[in-house]
Amino acid sequence: MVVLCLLAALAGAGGASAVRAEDLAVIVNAGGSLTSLTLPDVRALYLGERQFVGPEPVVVLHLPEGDVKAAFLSRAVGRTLKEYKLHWLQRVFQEGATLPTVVAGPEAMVGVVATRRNSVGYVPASLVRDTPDVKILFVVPSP
Amino acid sequence: MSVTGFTAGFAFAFLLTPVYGESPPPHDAEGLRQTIRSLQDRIERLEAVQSLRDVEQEHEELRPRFGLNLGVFGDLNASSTPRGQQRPAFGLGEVGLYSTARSGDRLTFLFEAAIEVDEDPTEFDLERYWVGYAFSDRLVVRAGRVHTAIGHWNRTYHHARYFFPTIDRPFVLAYDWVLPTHLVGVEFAGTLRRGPTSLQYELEIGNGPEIDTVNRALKVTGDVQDRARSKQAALRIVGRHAALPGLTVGLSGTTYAFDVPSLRESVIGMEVARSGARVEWIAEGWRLANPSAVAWAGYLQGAWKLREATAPFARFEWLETDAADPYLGALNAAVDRHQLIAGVRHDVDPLHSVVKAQYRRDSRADDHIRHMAELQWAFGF
Repeated sequence: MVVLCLLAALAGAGGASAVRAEDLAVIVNAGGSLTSLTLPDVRALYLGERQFVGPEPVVVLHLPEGDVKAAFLSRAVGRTLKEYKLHWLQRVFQEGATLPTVVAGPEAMVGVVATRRNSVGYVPASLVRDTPDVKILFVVPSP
Repeated sequence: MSVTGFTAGFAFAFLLTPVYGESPPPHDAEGLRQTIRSLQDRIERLEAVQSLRDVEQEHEELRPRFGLNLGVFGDLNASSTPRGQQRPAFGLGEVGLYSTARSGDRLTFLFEAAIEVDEDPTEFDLERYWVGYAFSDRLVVRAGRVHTAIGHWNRTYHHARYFFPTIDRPFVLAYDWVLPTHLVGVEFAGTLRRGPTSLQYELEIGNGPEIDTVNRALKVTGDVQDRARSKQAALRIVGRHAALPGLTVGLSGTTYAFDVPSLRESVIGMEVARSGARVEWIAEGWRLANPSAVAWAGYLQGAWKLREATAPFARFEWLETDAADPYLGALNAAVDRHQLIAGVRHDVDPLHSVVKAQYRRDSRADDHIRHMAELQWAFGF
């Protein structure tokens, strides 16, 4: 089902609204409790300032270092990559926080979000559509 | 061919790209059957690899995890004429070892020890040591030795000078001096959110400190037993608003009692801090009171990024006391003191090493003004 949604997006099927390839989609598991998160909520999760939604821990996912991750950190989290690393270095030392999980790539990101409740991630908006497993919370547009 | 079969075949056609590379996928039935068998083989191989990883994961959970992320922080210093010394000196700062461990999403452990090599004999101190359980963002319970919730600096900066924006802590927050910077006990902490506002709280109950009358220092008791007259309680509350990113405003308070001298000391603190991309500033103040006297202490600090790796900073600190204060007198601290520092911090390596240079003007009411030039090379690995 996940593969089909990726394939449909690539093929332009379903009459979905056009989004620029540079836009980033923040995605969550459609069956979890994260479907009403806002951008400030997502920022707090990626900064480790928030670890739970209600009583359930959230799985925070990252892509490997690259343009997409850098763009997400800049637009959604408000940090450069260096600032982000320093922030987490201090957070681990300060309170024993756990670093977010890095997945292999956009396809793996969608796959993990589709199968893990209470997980949040991001991918280029052109690679994903709403499905029964994956919900696009919002799109972070390119500047 | 049924609609379902056609759809599956259509989908598999796109999956064939890693199998066929640039060649177009087959459309005849025999070709599709071969392709399906090939994909089934791949799936079986992947499932076998995954099952092996699952077994390895089970074994991984049984292996000891302390020390997997053992870190070290340290610093090396040089000073022109430190107070209490007659000549310029190099100094070895603390070597800090720390490690964290985690089980699942809720159980965490942290350990931080400091080796003070400029002491004779060399001291090995357990600075932080706690185990914690997170019920939710609203409630995290920790037990052990923590930094007392008496303000922004003491809860944000621990023993790794690499993270300090300046060379050292504000003098009023010096360890074993006028404010109890560590506590052994239980801590309840969490963040309460309502709309754009969040309120972070830290409530601690622990063994009370005691005064080392020989060395005239404030010591944390109860690493093993509580020799203090009563328990110490501390509470800190910090507010944030989404419309003011990077800005925090907080209040804190703590109270503790001694047998010698016989008094109860109460400390109320206020803090305002803002961290931004270019500018970071902190303002903190405390009122220290006992039945006989009131003292005021605080600092104002600012740092701003000139370039990516370079940040000048400045700080003004003060301690205003009553010479007859029995609490500060027992700590040899019942003397007005002011300090002005100004310097620059430069990243040698963005995540591992910084150098700092600063000028310090140290004024005590019972001594002449000291002017010092200081250098520090701090690191973390």
